Amino acid sequence: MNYFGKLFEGIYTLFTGSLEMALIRILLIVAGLALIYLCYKKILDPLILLPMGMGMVAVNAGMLILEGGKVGTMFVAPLISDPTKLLEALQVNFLQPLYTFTFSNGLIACLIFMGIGVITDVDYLLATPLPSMMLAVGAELGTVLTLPVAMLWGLNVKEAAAIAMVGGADGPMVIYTSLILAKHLFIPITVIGYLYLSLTYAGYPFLVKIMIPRRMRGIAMDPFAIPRIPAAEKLAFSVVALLVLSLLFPVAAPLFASFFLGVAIKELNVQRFKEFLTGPILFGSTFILGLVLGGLLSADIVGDVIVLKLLVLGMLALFLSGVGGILAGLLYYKISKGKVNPLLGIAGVSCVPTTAKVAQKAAFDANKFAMILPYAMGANVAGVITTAIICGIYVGLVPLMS
Amino acid sequence: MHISITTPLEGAGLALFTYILTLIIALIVAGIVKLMYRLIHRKGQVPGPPKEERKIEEILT
Repeated sequence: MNYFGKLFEGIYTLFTGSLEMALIRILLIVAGLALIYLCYKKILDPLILLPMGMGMVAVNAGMLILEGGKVGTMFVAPLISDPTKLLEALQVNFLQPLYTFTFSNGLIACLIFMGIGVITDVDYLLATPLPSMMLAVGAELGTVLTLPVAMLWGLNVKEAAAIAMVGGADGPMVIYTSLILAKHLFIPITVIGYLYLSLTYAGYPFLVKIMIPRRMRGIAMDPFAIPRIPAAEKLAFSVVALLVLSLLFPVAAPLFASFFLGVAIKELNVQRFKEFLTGPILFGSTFILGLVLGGLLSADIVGDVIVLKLLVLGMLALFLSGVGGILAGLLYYKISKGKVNPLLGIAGVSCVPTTAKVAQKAAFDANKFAMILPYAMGANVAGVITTAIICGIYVGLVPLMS
Repeated sequence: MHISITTPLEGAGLALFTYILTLIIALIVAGIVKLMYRLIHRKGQVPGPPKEERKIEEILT
C-alpha cells in the first residue's frame, strides 16, 4: 500500500477491491443519504431510519484494510462465531458489544416489545375479541402465503419462513424469527423488515383507496359504544394470555413475556416502570436498533444476490397482508350489514399503531366525522397476538422440518 | 416420524397448516377473553362511566 492509500484508506479501498464491491459501497452510501433526506422530509420515520442512514453512510465510507489485508470496518463483525476472534472484535469494533449482547440473543426485540406493551391499549380487543382476532387472522395472509412463494424462488423452508414474517409487520418478531431460523440472513431480512414497516404509512393508504370505495371508507362508528374495561380485567387478560401462549409456544415465550409484562405494568399503573420502559428502554432500544442495523449494512455483508430476492419477497408479504386484512374488513362489513367500516381490516396488520392510524386517516379523508381509531386499535393489538402465534409456529415447527 | 419440507408444494401445505392453526388459536384466545368478560360481569352490567361523565368526556374530546 502506498502513502496515499495508508493516509486515505476509505478512498483507497474503493479502487483496490472488485468493481462490483465498489459499486455496492457507493450505492449503499447513496441509499443512506436518501434515507436521511426522506426522514428530513418526514416521508420516512426518523426514529429508526435516521440512525440507520447515518450508520450506512459511515460504515460504507469508512472501509479500511484490516489485519491480513482483508477489507473491513471498525463497526461490527456479525458473522464471527469463534470465541477468541469474538473477544478481539469486542475490543476493536465499537458496535460489537451492542450487537453481541443485544442483537444475537434477541434481547433488543424483547426490550422494544416491553415498551410497546406499555403503550398498547387492550381495551378494544377485550371489548370486541372475536371480530378483532378474525380481522387480524385475515391480515396474516402475507405471513403464510409468502412462504411457498419464497420456496418457489429457491429459498429453503427456514429462510422462506424468516422472510415471510415480514408480512406480520412486526419488527421485533422479524428480528426474532430470522435470528432463530436464518441467522445468515438476519441482517438483510431485518433491514428490509424495518424499511418496509416505515413504508406501510406511505403505501397502505393507496391500497385501501384502490380496494375500498369512498362510501364505505366514510362509515362512522360510535367510539362511546365500546364498554369501559376495568384495569383488573386487562391485567387478568395479560396474565392469562401470557400463560396460554407460553404454554403453547415456549420458544416465543421471551417475546410474550416482554409484551404482556409491558401491558401488566401499564394496567397496574406502576408509574416509574412506565416512564422507564416508554422512555429510556423503548427509545433507547429503537435508537440502538437503527444505528446497529445501519452499521451492519456494509457492502461486504449485504453484497449478495439473495438480498434482491428478499427485497421483492418482503414487499410481497406486506402487500398480501394488506390485501388479506382489507378482504377481512370487507367481509366484516357485509356480516354487520354495513354498520362496520371495512378500513378496520388494514389495522389488523400488526404494525402498532401505524396501521390503525392509516385506517383512521383514510376514514377522515372520506368523512371528517368518521372516528374509527378505538375499533382499529382492537384489530391492531389482535394483530400483535396473531403474529406472535405464527412466529411461535414457525420458530417451533420449521427447524424440525428442514 | 420426521417430516421434511423441501418443495414449494410442501411449503404451501405448511402455510395452510399454519394459517388454520393460527385461526384455531385466535378463536381460543377470543373465547378466553369472552369467557373472562362473562365471569367478571356475571350480573350483566356493562362497565363504564355514568352517562353524565361520558357527556363531559364528549365535550372535552
